[in-house]
Amino acid sequence: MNTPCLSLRERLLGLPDESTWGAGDRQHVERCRECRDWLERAEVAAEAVRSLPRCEAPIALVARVEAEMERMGTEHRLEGAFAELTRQRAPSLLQDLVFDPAQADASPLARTLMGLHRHRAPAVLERLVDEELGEPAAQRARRFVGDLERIAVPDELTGRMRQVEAREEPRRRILFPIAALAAAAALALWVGLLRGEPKEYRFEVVRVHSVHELSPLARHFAEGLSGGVLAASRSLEAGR
Amino acid sequence: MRSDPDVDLVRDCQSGSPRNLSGPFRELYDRFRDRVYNVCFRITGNPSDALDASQETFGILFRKISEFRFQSKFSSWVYRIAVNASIDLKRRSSSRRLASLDVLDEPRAGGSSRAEAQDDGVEMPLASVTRAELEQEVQRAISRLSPKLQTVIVLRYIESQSYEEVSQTLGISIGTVKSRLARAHDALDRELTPVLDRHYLG
Ligand SMILES: [Zn+2]
Repeated sequence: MNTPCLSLRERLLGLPDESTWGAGDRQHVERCRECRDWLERAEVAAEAVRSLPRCEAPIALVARVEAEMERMGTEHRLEGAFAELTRQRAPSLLQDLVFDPAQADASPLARTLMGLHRHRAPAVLERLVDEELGEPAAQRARRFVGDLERIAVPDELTGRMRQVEAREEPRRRILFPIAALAAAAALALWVGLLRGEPKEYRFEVVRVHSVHELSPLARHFAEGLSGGVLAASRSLEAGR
Repeated sequence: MRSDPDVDLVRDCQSGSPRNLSGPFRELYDRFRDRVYNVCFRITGNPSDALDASQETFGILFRKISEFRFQSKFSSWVYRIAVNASIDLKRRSSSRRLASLDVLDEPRAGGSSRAEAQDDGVEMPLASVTRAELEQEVQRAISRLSPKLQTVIVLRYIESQSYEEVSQTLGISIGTVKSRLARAHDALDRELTPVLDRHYLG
């Protein structure tokens, strides 16, 4: 239904009768058959509701309301009585027992509790909170990496690496197998953690001739786990 | 509020405490009992729930009258308490009542038995609806509306409130009153047109 029709109907429903309609309203209703029918039906329904007989409140209601007020009166009197009760001070003995450990006859529990050493928050906490607020994502990553389990290199892998070492030139024999091993181990560990499988790791050895051949993820893991050696080596290469 | 006819009586009630139904409290009760009962009856749809809701309304009214600050008409406040008490009560007992209606009513799904009989050309003693039956049908149609639509219909046509008064009673904008009333008419139309046709056209 279009908006002029709807707003006209809503407005005319609020008016007492047709004599109070404006000229524009009258014109719309004369021209718009839908509105004319709708308003006619609405008036019939309104009249049907209006003509429902008005009931008188039953006699039973007065008795119920009286009983309700009786209850209220009782509540009111009780409230008044409670309000008039005088407040008693705690006896001085209680105060001494609970709050004054210096008292010779203070309870052992009170003395123990009052004597507990209160710790100050360590100074480092302030810096940690500061870092947490400044770089929450980085702090989360740092905590996560710290929790990762470090696993021993399997013997078979070490053996294979030795064979490779024997064939490769000195720099590669040292640097790249470590990188590949570390990247593969980290990747396997990562996949294992995501799957939630218990303690069963799969390794895949990828032989590369340059760090650049590693995937970005493996390269970053390798750099991280080599303690910066790989990164330094890469920047040296780049400087040449 | 200057134009509020209940101000003096309400102030009298506020200066006393509601210990029993006498003095200004009795006068206030007499002034509002029928209005409260009618609203409760038309919203709950049955005398027993209407009585419970009316009792609750006066209980709340007398308990909280000292907190009334004359920021709206007093009668609007009373109506609002009555409407809320009725809707609450209706919600609480709707499952019980629906269960009993299912037993007493004609089946609704798949058309009424009365309509089917008419289609078959069988002469029906209820072919034209009597006045009492019409009242029942209208009340039933009101009861089937959602509480929001029901409330505007009752306040507008049973209590003859203007849009402004309905808006004040329910604490909603006049625009919302208008659109709810129009929607209530759409819903009533679906429920009532066949009944009204039978009643008026025979
Ligand atoms: Zn129109």
